[in-house]
Amino acid sequence: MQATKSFEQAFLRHLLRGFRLSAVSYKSMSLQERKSAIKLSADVAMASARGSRKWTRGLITKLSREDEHRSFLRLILGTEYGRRTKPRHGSWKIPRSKKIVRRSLRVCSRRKNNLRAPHGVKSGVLARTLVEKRTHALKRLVPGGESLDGCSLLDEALDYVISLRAQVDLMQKLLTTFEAPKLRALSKCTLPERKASFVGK
Amino acid sequence: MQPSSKEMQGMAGGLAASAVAAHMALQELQNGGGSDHDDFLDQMMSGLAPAWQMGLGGYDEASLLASRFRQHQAASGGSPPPTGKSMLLQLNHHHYAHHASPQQQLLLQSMGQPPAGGGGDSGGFLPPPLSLGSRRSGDSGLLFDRSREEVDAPFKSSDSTEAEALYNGFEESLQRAAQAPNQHQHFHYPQNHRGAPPAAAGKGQVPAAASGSPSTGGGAVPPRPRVRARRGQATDPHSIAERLRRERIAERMKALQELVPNANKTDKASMLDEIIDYVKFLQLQVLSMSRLGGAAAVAPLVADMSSEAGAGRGGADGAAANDGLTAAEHQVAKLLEEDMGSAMQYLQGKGLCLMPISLASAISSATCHLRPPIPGSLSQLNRRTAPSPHAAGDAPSSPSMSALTVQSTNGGGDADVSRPSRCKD
Repeated sequence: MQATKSFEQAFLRHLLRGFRLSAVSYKSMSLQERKSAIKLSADVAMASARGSRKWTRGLITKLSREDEHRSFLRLILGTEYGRRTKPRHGSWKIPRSKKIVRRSLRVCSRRKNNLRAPHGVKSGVLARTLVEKRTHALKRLVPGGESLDGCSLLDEALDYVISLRAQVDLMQKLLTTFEAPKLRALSKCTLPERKASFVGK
Repeated sequence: MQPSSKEMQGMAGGLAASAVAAHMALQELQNGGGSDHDDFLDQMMSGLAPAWQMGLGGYDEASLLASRFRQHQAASGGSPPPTGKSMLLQLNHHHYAHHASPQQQLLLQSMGQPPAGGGGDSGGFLPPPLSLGSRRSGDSGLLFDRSREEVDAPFKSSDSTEAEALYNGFEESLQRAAQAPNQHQHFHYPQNHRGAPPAAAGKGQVPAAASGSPSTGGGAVPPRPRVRARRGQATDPHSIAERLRRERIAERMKALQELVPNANKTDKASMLDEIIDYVKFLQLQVLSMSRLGGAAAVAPLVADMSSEAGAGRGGADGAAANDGLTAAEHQVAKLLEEDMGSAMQYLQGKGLCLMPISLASAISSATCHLRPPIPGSLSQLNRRTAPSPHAAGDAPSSPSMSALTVQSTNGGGDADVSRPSRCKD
């Protein structure tokens, strides 16, 4: 799947606007500050370019938790800021205490174990626990994924992966565009293929 | 408790007829369950030949009850079901102390289907044992009640076996294998070996059995409208909803498989693993890109440039030229002030062109093989560049950077871009 061209254009526009607004400069900022400023602009640009999805809302909410980002967000998003951060009614799940949920799960599995013939691998429970663990990990990774059920979690993860890929691609292109003269001057080496670097982990 | 697990595994393995499985299980029971798993499973896989023909002869309670059942059937044509049921009830209680409930249920199955000579009467008992239901709690007593009231009720095996996972796989494989036409096939299978499909007539006390008998197919409308459950699946909405949910998840998994590299895994857990790793990797990449950008001072360049240029123009987006306007740009700017045409000619001579800034950004954001759009871009350009000479910075400052050739701006042939044009926005 590919990110749409409109997404890419919107992303670039917002990104560069964000650079300007955050006033990233060599003189006043350290490397770390610059890096986080760029990352912030990139994330906000990605979220605002995508439109209104669960993960974008989650991402913006997470970013706006820190006060310093809030003014930045307001500037970038403008009127959409309020719209994006307010939760959509009807899709909000009741927040459950993790401890209680875990305890109930344990009780259920224990009950099943007791009734079951106690021999061999309890393959069903084992498989289910593995999947559950991974689902929780994915929930933590995808912004705003905590309150999603398995099916829509996968949906949001899919969308998120597409947008992330597009983000990385565009930022890479931006870098090469600006640094092309330097790079050509230095060496003839090309930037490694993203997939290859991932596969060869 | 080995026999029970073996039975369960056997049942999961033998797709064709659970009755056969039950029978085999009975065999194993009688044999003392000494054989190990592999043998049993092999038997199950290979021996789908109906055990009905073999008869239950030689197995104590089974044959006894079978014969008794047959007697009853022979004697009273009209009311075998209730008596048969009472027999089964006896059997139930008799065996309850000895066997675990799944075995019990298997026995019930086998009891309910006496081989060969059973004729049509046992059609009433056919439905409940044969459909392996969901894994809800199945008391044998509960099953029995259901078999009395709702003959069509699915066979609820007890969930006390670890073969629940197998049942999961069983149901899922069933989903794929069994479609609507298969609904009656499993009933056909054991029935064929009995020699005659059960006659639906005379089953006033078991009305729903009419819907169950495959021979009637869709012909006889049962008094209670019932959805014939697929083999091994329950009719209640819970399992249907679960099935739907699982299908949806499978779809999403497939879509993600194309996206994530190295995702040739069929297992859900390892797919999730790959997805998680990939997301982490991408997030890390974004971080490193931003770090590179900070180190290479991309953002400051953009910021500084745009701040300088922004003063000159009317609120348009983006930055202007790079560090140091080269001579070419100065020249173009000068020319532009006088005459648009000469500026364009000058650029043409250099193999460069002017373009709107938004277009430049669009092109640089897309791949390099983008077709140039609208010829009307030039007119836009006129309007745009009139206010400020810096807009002419669209032409790349460094001569090493090439842009679209003039041909392409005429809306003609392909974009002849050798390098991505600068992202000016």
